Amino acid sequence: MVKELAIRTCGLTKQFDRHIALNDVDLEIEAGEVYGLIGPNGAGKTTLIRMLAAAEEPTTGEIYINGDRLQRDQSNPTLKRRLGYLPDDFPLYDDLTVWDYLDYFARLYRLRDPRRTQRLREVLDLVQLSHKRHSMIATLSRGMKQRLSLARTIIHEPIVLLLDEPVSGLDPIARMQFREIIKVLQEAGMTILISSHVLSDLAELCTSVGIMELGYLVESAPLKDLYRRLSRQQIFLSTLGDLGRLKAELKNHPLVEECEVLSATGRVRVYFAGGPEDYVELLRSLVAAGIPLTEFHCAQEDLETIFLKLGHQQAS
Amino acid sequence: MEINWLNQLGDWNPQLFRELKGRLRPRNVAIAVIISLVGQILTLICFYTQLPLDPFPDLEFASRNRYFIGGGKPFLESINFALWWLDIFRLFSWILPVILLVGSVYMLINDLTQEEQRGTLNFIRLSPQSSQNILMGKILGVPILLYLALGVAVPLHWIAAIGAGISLGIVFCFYLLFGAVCLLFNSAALLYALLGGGQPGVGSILSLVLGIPCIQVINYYLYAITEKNFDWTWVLQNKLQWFYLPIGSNLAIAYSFTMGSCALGIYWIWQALNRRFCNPSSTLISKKQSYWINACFTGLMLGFFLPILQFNLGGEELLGCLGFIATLNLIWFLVLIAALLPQRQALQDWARYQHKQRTPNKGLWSHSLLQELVWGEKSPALVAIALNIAIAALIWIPWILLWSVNTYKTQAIFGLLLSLSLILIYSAIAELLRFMKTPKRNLWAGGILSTTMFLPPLVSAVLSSGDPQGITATILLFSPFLWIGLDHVAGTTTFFVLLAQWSVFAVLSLQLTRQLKKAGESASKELLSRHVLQASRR
Repeated sequence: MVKELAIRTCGLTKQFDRHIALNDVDLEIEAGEVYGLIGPNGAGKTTLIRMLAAAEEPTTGEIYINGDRLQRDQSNPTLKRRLGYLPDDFPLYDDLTVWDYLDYFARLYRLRDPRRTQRLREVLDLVQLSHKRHSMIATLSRGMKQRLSLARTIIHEPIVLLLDEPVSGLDPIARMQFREIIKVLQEAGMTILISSHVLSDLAELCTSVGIMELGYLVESAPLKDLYRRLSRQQIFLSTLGDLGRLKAELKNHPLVEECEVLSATGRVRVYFAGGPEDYVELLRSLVAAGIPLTEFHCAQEDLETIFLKLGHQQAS
Repeated sequence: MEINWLNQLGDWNPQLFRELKGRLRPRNVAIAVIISLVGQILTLICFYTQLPLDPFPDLEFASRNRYFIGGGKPFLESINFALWWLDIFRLFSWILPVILLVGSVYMLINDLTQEEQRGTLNFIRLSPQSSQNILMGKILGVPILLYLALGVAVPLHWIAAIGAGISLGIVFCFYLLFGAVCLLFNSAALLYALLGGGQPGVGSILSLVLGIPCIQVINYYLYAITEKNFDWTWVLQNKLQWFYLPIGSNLAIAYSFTMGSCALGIYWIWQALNRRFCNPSSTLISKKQSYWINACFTGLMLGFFLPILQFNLGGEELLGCLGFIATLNLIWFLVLIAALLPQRQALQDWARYQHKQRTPNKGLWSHSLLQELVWGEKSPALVAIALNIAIAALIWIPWILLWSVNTYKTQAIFGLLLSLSLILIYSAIAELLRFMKTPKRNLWAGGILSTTMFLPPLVSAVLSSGDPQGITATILLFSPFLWIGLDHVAGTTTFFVLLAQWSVFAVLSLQLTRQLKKAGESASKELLSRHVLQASRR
């Protein structure tokens, strides 16, 4: 069954002076997906997201949200309610309390009581700021402000969420909290477009990935496809015995493509062509050969390796 | 009950609700109320000291007191309290609007500029609320403490009105007019902030300079009502009429006219506000709106100058009148040009991509391009300005033909055509300069336009030592001061100057077309031509 497209762009182009920031981008994101947008600084990610949020006008091209044409005027209040946009900077009002701030945006998005109060409580629970509801925004930490901004973005239950570098500048705990929130939002059925330089986060969250470079969308595919096409199976092994014997045994195995010793850890990395049954067979043969294994760990090449393999330069 | 009321207010206008929540803190409210009360008490003390309160006054000394009405009467009856209250009423009718106008303009510009700089305004833009709702919330909410302080002073104004024997109905009528003027200025303040003015102090000074005449006019109406021996004759001598309506001698018509003008101003400013709030890169008004607003303004002006024809003025007086009209027209068109010129980026986008957006099934390419130039959002404004000039010419040429003096008509029509084609040249220069790469192009445009306007009269003045004749008078015809030189040059010279102006305009238009074509070339074409050039050099 063909899934409905939450976001579709046709020939989206943005030119600043003579510089083309975005060039003829045709993007398609299915409903319910978490789509990761990666690419070096200046590749056009922020411009693309700003245009999808109607914060910027495209030079040419069209944007469709759930099949409806998005335009930057007053004619589409319904469409605006479907979108939630979190920019990379997150300006707030320091003179309001957390509750008043969210209440203001809930009203802007025409939420009426009692649903409004209920939604405010839900969102504050989700972003773990319930205990700060009466605090002035000026007194919050950066991570809390980031979560409050996310709460503002989702207060009206948008169906498409656009997050531009949402975890930049956050500590590891705050990043983890943020990832958990995104997972909950995905389960709630939101389509999420997220741009980030932290590829490990994207690998954990995303179902599809788009790679941007010099204003072009050079790759756009489900993450599974990308792994299948470009990622090789790896096995990490450690032994208490002689590394040379282990290497010799491995080289004898027909499905082992490449074998190398990682000097830093003393582990052996093997690129393996087989499936799960073949892993079992390899392990069995090594044990039968009397090699004292302490580790036998199967893994895939990560997103960053795939990205670099594609020939792009990515700062992680 | 109170919570329910606030809740409903918040649902009706979330922006107003947010402003009230952010500002109406007990400490701020207390300060506003105390300042207002202290101000009122000080004013009353000041006026109290003016009263002749000596029960046994020195009659010669007391008679010089404004509020003393003759000796021999009992003490309290010898004081003209009605006049005393009237003076307080008049003072308040001056001070309250001035504080309201300047204060609210400052606060609004400051607030909106801060929101724009912080980036919070973008979130509001992206919400489904209409721009009217948001901006009206700002106007009502941002200066709320000022409104409160002035509101606390209103009862004293009423008491003074009752003490002076002025009906409260009249006071409310004038509150309505003050309110309209304030809304006009506040709307203009928002527009100023959205245009990136960013200087609340400058905005306030501007509002003071422009607002005081408005407040003076309203206070003059109040004076006319409250002054028992008001002499209407000098007003009647003024014979100020608008489409033969005696706005100079009938207070009800004058009131309605002022109210109507304010309403018209507010309407057009809000048209620009709505556009600019939704899309900060758009022009202030669309081309279609420009035709309407221009017709409105020229019609408004015609209303004042049509009744003049009944006074049998001489040719030179009428020519002077036309010179005044042309000067007003020039100022108006400079504003219109600024409001209509698209930003450099928009022009570039139009030049580069308009061929993609043009509907191919129109048949005639030029027909479609013409439509784009007359109505299009991002297209160059030159054709639209030319059409606006045609609208002005269509209104003023019949006015000239209605003159009773025939001898000056041809000269007047030539003068009008000269001044209108000058506007066309200025608009072409402005459009060319707006297309410059330098970020200070607006400053350049302003500087070069001013030079083009004021250099010819300066040269003429230096060469002729104040009495333009021959060539020095001809030089004047290339400037807005052409009306001074028009009398001193022959008709054929005027005609040739007109031809010269049109030639200048043709050259400027060609240059603009060339620049647009260049901007519209694709990057690959530019790259290829560079390669070809390099190859040919080798």
